[in-house]
Amino acid sequence: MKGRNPIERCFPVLLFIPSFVVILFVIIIPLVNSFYLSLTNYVLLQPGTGKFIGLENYVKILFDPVFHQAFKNTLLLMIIAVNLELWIGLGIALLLYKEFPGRGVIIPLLVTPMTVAPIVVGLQFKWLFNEVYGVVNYILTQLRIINEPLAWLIQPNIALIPILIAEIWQWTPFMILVMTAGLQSVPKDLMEAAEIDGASALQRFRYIIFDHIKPILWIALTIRSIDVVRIFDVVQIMTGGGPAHATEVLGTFIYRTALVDRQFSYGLAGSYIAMLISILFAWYLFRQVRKVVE
Amino acid sequence: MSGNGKSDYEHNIMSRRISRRKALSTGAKIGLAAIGGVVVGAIGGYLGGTMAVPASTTTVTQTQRITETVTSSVGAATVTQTVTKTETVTKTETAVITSAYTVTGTTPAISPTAPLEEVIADIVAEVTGKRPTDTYKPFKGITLRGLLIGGGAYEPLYEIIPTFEKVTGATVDSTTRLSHFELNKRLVIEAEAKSDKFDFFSDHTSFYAGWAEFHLPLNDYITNADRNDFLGKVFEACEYEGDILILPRHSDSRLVYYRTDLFGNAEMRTRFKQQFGYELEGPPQNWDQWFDMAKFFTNAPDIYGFVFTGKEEALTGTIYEATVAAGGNFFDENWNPIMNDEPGVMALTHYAKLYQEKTTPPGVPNYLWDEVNSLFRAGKVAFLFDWPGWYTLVKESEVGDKFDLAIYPKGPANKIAVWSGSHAFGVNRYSKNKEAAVALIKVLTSAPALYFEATKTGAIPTRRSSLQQFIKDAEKSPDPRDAKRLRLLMEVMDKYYLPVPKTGQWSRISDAFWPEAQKAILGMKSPKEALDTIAEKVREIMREAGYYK
Repeated sequence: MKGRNPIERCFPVLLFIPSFVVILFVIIIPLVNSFYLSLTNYVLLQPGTGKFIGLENYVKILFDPVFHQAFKNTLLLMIIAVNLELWIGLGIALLLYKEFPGRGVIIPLLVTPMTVAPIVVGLQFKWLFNEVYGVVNYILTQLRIINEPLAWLIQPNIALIPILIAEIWQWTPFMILVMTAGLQSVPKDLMEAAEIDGASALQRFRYIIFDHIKPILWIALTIRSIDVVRIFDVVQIMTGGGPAHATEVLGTFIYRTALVDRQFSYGLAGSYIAMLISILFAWYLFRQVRKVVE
Repeated sequence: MSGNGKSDYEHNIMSRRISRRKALSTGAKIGLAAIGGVVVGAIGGYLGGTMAVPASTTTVTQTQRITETVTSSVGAATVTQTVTKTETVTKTETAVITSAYTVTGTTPAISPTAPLEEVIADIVAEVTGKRPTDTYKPFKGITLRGLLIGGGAYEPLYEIIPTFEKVTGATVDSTTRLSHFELNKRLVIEAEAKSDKFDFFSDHTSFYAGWAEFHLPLNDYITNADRNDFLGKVFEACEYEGDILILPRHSDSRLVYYRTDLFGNAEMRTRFKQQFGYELEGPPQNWDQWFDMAKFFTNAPDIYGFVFTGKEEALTGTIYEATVAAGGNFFDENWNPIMNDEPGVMALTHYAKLYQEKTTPPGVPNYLWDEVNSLFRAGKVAFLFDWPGWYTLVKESEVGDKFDLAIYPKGPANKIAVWSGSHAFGVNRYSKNKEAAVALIKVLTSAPALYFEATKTGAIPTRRSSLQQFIKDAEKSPDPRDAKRLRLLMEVMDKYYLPVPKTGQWSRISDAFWPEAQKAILGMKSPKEALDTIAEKVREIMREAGYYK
């Protein structure tokens, strides 16, 4: 650095300024402002609110049964959906591992659901599971699995199932795509050597394939877990969090509280808790990735 | 639009003015207006009387001196003559409104077809005490700024604003046009800042109480003619703690849509009588009939007797109107929640019963307006309560020629209550141009303006005279339901219109209400338990909002 003139020394900082300004206005200031608002009693469209109340919203939300339900459902969706997506995705990716005629067409077709807007997915599955005209009820009654049509999106004990299926339908292709890419990193000669040495298919999967795709598997899990924590569109379209909060997730809870119920600061407290959960998951999963890589 | 770029309405107004000029002189107009004023005043209270809307024939004898200045043109020559005559006018007027909400053809208190420029001049004279002329522009140099609701359905009315500018000399900035949600948000910000940035604004009966202090009370500017012309219950909805804060523009109230092919089917009627012991004469007249008919027409999954919106505000409003029809309310006069009293329990029990007895599709708790109406349009429902805006779509559907409309059945308290709302205008209390702003919103809610909006967008005007004229137009339609729908809506707005409670907390109340109501409908809780929980939550909301100081 010695001997460089001040302009040269400042040049890297100058290059940094535009992105810093954008980040400042788009991320940092809104974050600080919204965090401050979450410490007030601000009610949207109600004059005279916005007084500082400290952590009252956070304390209140921790005892709110609707928030508990939303948290439970989000966790349930995350555990079930992400795991099923992973194993189904990995299974399909393994099927596609070997070259065969038409493979180049099948992969793009399989990833089509990912390209559909979540709102469209929500509407589509809402109709598929419609209690009167839904094709799911039609098939199940024709196959005599059920005697009369089920109100899938209405009965609180089963209303989460159609949402789970919609989510898995849309995002399993993501896992297929990521796993297919991961499988490409498995050395072919190693696989051939193992085969010649008499390793079974399961052994080859366990000791060669799985070991090689582990880092990418953890990354895929991280991305999808964070995605599920902020699930909103599909649930909002299919059930709106109902009936009677049975399918409430963190996204619908925050939306309804902050914008419909207009308890803006309370909703913000909810969103900060959701953000904290996302960060914790991301931290844990990235730690796993690092461990695997190391 | 006519060829010269003017709207058809402006063009019609101009045509009317020209033809009138041919027929009468300016002086004769003044004379006739005086007679008309006295006669109509005797009937509608125009000249300051407090008479309610007359219900029968009234005879008025009036002696009036008329001075006419007749100006006529023949080719290039202009002839002017003054005629002075005294005549006795004996006139028998039939009441403007008769029972059954029929249009009699008599002159309404305020004419929706009056030339707009004259109406504007009258309103300005009312507000300021001085009538504008070609040379006197009372609001010259004043710029009025409006915070308005935007969108296709709302904006045609604003085409009237340039005429207001022309007559009064004011400049109106009406460029701030926002969605309903954004508008409300902005109004709160303006109210909190006590800002004078906007002089007038769009508003709504369901929300205005949330920023009541921001409104200029309009009591002093409302004439008896206005009071009589705005439909009764709609106008009541604009009054907050004794002050009129907003002037209504157009309204939304629900009606019963029912299938005539089912209700009029002879075999069905016979079977209904055998089953229930009374005649199936038409849509239900009370809650018992409502349930019987819903049950009777249900043949799931092909057709259901009834359907309702089972979530969000659409459910809250539905139970609210039923609670009032059962003789209750959501609040007492001190804002204590009373929705868990017997009428509320009856209302929620009724809807829960309709659902649990499977007279409605099982998906009801997930239905909003789109779903319920599409089921009716698809012929899957015998009757439902729905908004006037769906009418055209239903007419174009496969049940288009086999449905009719009616007013709600009476509730257990022998009452009808129809959850309704109206778009409106208000004036900023902190405006520096109050009189001009009041004049403008009075013009925007005048009879010709509301009639104009109705013809342009199909919106249901809140003035009796405008709606009557709209009905007259609809009577020319080959489909008698077109006029019937408007007559029914007129009756609803006059008698059964139920605004939401006048508090800024309605959204929060609704959000506390419907998930618990859903639990009762689904049988997860009893209606009483659900309503007790709701009442507790609502009390907390009202306490937080400072209602129990």
